[in-house]
Amino acid sequence: MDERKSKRPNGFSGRSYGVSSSGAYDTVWECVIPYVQDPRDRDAVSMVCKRWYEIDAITRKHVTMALCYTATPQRLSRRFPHLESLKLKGKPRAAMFNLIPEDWGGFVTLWVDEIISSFGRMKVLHFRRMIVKDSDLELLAKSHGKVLDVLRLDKCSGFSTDGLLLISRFCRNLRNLLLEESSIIENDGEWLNELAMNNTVLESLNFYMTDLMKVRSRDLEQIARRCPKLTSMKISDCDVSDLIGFFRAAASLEEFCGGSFSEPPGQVGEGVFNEQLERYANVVFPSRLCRLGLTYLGKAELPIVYPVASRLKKMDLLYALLDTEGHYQLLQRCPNLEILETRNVIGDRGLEILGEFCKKMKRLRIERGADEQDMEDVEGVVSQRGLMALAQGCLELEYLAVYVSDITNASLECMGTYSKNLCDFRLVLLDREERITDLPLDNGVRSLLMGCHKLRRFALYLRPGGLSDVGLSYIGQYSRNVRWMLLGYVGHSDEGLLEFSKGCPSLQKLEMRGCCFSERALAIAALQLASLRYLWVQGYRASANGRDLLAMVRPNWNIELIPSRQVVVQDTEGGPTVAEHPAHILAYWSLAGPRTDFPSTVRPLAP
Amino acid sequence: MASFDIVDSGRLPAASRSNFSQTCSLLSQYLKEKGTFGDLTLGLTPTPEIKDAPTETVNFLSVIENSGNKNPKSEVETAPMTIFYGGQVMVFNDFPADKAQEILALASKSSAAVAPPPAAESSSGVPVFVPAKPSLDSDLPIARKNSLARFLEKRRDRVTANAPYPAAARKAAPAPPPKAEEWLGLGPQQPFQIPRN
Repeated sequence: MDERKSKRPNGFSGRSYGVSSSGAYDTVWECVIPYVQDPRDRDAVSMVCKRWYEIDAITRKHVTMALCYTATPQRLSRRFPHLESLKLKGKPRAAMFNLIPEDWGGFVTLWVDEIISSFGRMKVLHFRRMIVKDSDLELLAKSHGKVLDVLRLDKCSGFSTDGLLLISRFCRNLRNLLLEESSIIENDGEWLNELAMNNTVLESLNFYMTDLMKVRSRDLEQIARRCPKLTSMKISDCDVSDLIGFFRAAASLEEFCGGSFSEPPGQVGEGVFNEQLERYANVVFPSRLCRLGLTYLGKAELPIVYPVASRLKKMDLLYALLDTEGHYQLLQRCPNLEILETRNVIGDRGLEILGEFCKKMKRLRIERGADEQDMEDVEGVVSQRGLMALAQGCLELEYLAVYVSDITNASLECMGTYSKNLCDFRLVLLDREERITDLPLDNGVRSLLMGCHKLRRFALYLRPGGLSDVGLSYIGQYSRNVRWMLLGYVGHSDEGLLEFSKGCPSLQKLEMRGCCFSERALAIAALQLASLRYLWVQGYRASANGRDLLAMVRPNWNIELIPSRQVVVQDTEGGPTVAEHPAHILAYWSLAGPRTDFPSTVRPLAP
Repeated sequence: MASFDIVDSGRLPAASRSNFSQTCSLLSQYLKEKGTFGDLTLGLTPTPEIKDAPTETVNFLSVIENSGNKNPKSEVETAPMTIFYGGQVMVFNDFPADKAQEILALASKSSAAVAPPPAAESSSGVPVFVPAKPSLDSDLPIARKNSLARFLEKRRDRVTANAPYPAAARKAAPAPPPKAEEWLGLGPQQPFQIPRN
């Protein structure tokens, strides 16, 4: 189709209804193109001819920028003047792991200014890992408050509850407010009260995993009463026994996360179970609830979940206190579960239960739990045994992210055989066990990549010796559709990386950590990977002043270094200690030129 | 053998550690300014390597390797010294009397002095980072997601705060593996240490 269209004359803007006139085609396309919504299809459309470019430009409603420094706000508004929805990402992903300086960049101010002045129809704003100031929120609230439908401040920092208060006061049409995992300075809880007073259309409120403590449960209940469409509420710590009224009022609620349970008194035993249950016995979840995540949920409180377990589609146990046995008891009651997030305390036994009882599983995330052996159940490790049970039992699996303690080639091969719907696979091999059953994983990785054709995202974080240069070349060869990749401690030498970089034709974003590659090899790989537009590396063989990286210098390719530095972090007891952070490289395509808001920890690399 | 223990009263305020570190830092700085306290170092340093080490960074690994060695017994008049500080109790065996005087004098002055931020500079020799456990040959520990790290920290606080007896608390949140942390740059800290509440 592209070929045929490209032969048509360009640049007709008048509307004509004549059968043979190209103007008729324009009209048709003006009607049709808005139905094309996939951004990649849109990109293709915009490159057909000048007219299609124009039609795409004026009809594009949503843009996601994977890095806010890849174009200027002005450029975005010039090209897509009628945007209604914008998602911007700031700091590199590594910021979620506390590896990026807090002041690295990703300020929303210039974007907010442009939204106010040029994007009058902007209804949906999603800022992720960005720095948002109260003054930005004030401007948005006062100048754009009536238009705003959705505001997501996703893992952001730099603002306080004072800014939120203005959002609550002026954005009365807000349907969706998300603050999840943001660092918010909490002056008071008035913002929530203001929201409860002003808003009747709220559908989703999320301040999950924030440290907001001054939230009053009566404000939550008021929101539930006044907003009949409220379907999702994710909150910070707030005792579940104070939420009984909220649950009663929230008739439409489908999703709830957060809350907390008081610690069962004394030694856990039969009597304590009853006492604890009594405290929470009056909690009745709304009838439509099907997505649940209760912080500090322990075995003593499990019985309050049982009545809704069979209809749960999504469960978040990341912040629960369940041991392996608790997982076992709960999961076998959840036949409709599609999404589960938990820690590796789920154990191989928990994965076997999933394979047996939860046949609809689509997305599974198993994070790394505590390192202290005694804090977690001794069974709480995941290995090849659990992975194989999962692969064979849950054939619908689309997403798997897992921290394993042991692994074999056979288990990866098994995933390749059974997990035909897998499009996102992430595996981290923990470093606690000295001995791993079966390394390197070259053949297992090849089988997995060959079997899982739909893979779009792929992460493999091993240890020295976990994957040879040959294995790395397999990744290049067999990950044809993979767009994002994270590689940690893979490969043996520069040759492995160079072989790898001959493949991966779709790879746009590559992150590497702890690999042995030289700057020179990294630079060559970056030039060789045809689709690459973002590269982040920490842990590599550096040259003096990064001069070997100059090999990848080219127009519109920004290269930034974060030289190695010492960072004060908390040690295992919460006390301050100094950690050595090795240097990072960040390189990305940008139409905006080098950025100018570097903090002193970031050094732009220019020839 | 010159050594010290930290005994815990079981009621550590949250901020005590950093205050404690500040005091360590202060004492350490004092030691540096005053030289090495003369025979105090001789009496307390377990290895001769430490004496040769540059004052700004101390090779704590060599301290670990040699921590089992017997030290030459000091000839000066000594006695055990016990310091109660921030909920912790430190016991020094064979502490030279004149140095005890100096520390007392310093302690009485120190309330007015402003200590440098405890962990901001490793050159002070006080907080030396050691990974909680050896991560094979990697120098980059596997990072943990911020949200999860915060949760695990809160959970640890809950467990210790709720435990009915200190013994149970100790069992629930076992002491981390011994860390080669410098105390006054004099010798390795004793492994026996109780996590804060």
